Amino acid sequence: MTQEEKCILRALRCYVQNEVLDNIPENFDWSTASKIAEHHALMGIVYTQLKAFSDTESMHLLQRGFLSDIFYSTCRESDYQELQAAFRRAGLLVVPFKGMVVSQYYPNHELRTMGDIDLCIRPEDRMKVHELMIELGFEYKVDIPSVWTYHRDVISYEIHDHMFYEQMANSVDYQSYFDHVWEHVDSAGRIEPEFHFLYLIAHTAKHIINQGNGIRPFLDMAFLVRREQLDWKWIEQELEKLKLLPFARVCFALCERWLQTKMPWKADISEELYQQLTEKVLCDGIFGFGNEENSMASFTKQIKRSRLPYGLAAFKLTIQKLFPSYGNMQPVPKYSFLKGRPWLLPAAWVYRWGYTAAHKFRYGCDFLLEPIAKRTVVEKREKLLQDWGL
Amino acid sequence: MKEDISFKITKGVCLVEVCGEAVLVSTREARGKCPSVQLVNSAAAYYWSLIEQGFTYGQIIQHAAGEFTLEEMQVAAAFDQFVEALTQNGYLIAERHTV
Repeated sequence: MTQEEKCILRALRCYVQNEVLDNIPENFDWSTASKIAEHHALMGIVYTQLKAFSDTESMHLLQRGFLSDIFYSTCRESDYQELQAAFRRAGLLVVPFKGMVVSQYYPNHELRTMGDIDLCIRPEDRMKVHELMIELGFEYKVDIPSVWTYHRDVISYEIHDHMFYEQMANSVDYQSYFDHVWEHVDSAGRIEPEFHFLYLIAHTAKHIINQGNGIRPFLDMAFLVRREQLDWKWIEQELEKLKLLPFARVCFALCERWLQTKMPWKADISEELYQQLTEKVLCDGIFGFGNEENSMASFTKQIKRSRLPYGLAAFKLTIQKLFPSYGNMQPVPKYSFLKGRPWLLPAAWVYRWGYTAAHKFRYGCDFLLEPIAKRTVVEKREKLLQDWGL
Repeated sequence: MKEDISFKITKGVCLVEVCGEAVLVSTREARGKCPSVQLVNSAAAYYWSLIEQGFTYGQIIQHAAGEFTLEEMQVAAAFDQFVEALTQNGYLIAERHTV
C-alpha cells in the first residue's frame, strides 16, 4: 500500500467515524491521491477530509470532483422528485434501490456517487413505465432485457423489472430470490432495509466475481450498519440460503479493519489475506475495470459454475467458443441475418471461422488457447474467489 | 417615491451547502442559462439565502449591516459585487422598481 492509499483509507475511516483527520504524510502526492479517489469514485468525500491540509492549487482536482458530485446529486434529486410525482399521478409503483437508497445513510448524501438511478418496477408495468418516460422526454436504450436505460439532460435511470438478473459462480437462483422484492416493499414504497441489505451483498459479490470492486460498497455497508437497526438473525439466515454468508463475513472483516466500524459478525481473516484483499480492492477501483488481473474473470466464473474438472470444463468452453449459440450470435450486428432464422447458424459459424482466419488469425488462436495458456491465472483467481468466500 | 431592486433567482438554480462549502447548482430547468456549478464564499451564500427569502436590495443591505454591525455603505459595496457577478452569470435577475 502506498502512503497515499493508506492516507485515503484513514480519511475514509474518519469520515465514517465523524472524526477529523489529524495529519497527512510528508511529501504527500496530491496528484496520486486525486487519481486514487477518482478511481474509487470518492473524490468528494476525500476532498472534504483532506482540504484542511492544502491550498486550492494542490487540491484542484479533488475540488473539481467534489463540485461534480454536488452537481450530479442536486440534478439527480431534482429530476427524481419530478419523476416520482409523474409516477404517482400515473398510479405506477416504482421503488428505488442501490445508490439512491444507500446515499440516505451517508452524513452527506450528495457525496455518495452513482452513475445512474436504479428503479425497480413490476414486469407487467414495463410498457406503461416506458410510455411515461418517453412522454417525459427521455431517450432510451435496451442493453439487457431486464434493464432499460433512460437518459435526459445529465441524468440516467436504469429501470429494472428484475432486481437481479445475472448468474454468479454457484447454482443459486438469485433472480428468483430477488423477484420476491414486492413482498418486502412497505407502504411508503421503500424496500425493507434487511432485504435491501441482502441485495447489496449479492450485488457486491456479483461485481467481485465479474471483475472487481472498489471501497465504495464497503462504505455503504458500514453506513448501513451504523445508521439502521437491522434484524441480523434474519439476514444471517437468508445469507446462508443465498450461499453468501462466508462472503458477507469477509466483507465485514474488511469493513472493521478499514473503517473501524463494529459489524454484527465477521470472518477471522489472516494478515496475509487482509493485505491481499486490500491490495486487490484498492487496485480494482470502482468496478475493477482496467485491472489486468481481471482479464480471466468471466472464464473463471464459467469454470466455477460448470463444477467439472479443469480440463473438461476448458474443453467444453472451447467448444462453446467455436460454436456460439444463436442467442449469443444474433445480437451482433455482423450476424443480424440470423434474426428469425436459427437454421442459418452453421453458416454464421463458417463465416466467423473464415473471417477470423483471414483477418485475425493470431488473435483467434490465442482466444481458443486461452484456457491452456492462462491456466495459472484462472487457478489464482479461483483461489481468490474462494478466499472471498465465494 | 423611492427606488429599490428586487431579485429573481433563475428557475432551476439552487444553493447547496455541504461540509462547509456553498455551491450554486443549475439543474435541468436552468441548463444553458448559467454555469452548471459554481463555488461561492460564505458571504455570497448568506446574501443568496436572503434573496431566496424574497428580500429586496434595500432590505438586504439593512439586514446584513445590522447582523454584522457594519456600515451600510460597506455592505452595499460587497453586495453590489455579488449581484454583478451573479447577474452576469445568469444566476440572478435584478429588477428595479419604485416603492
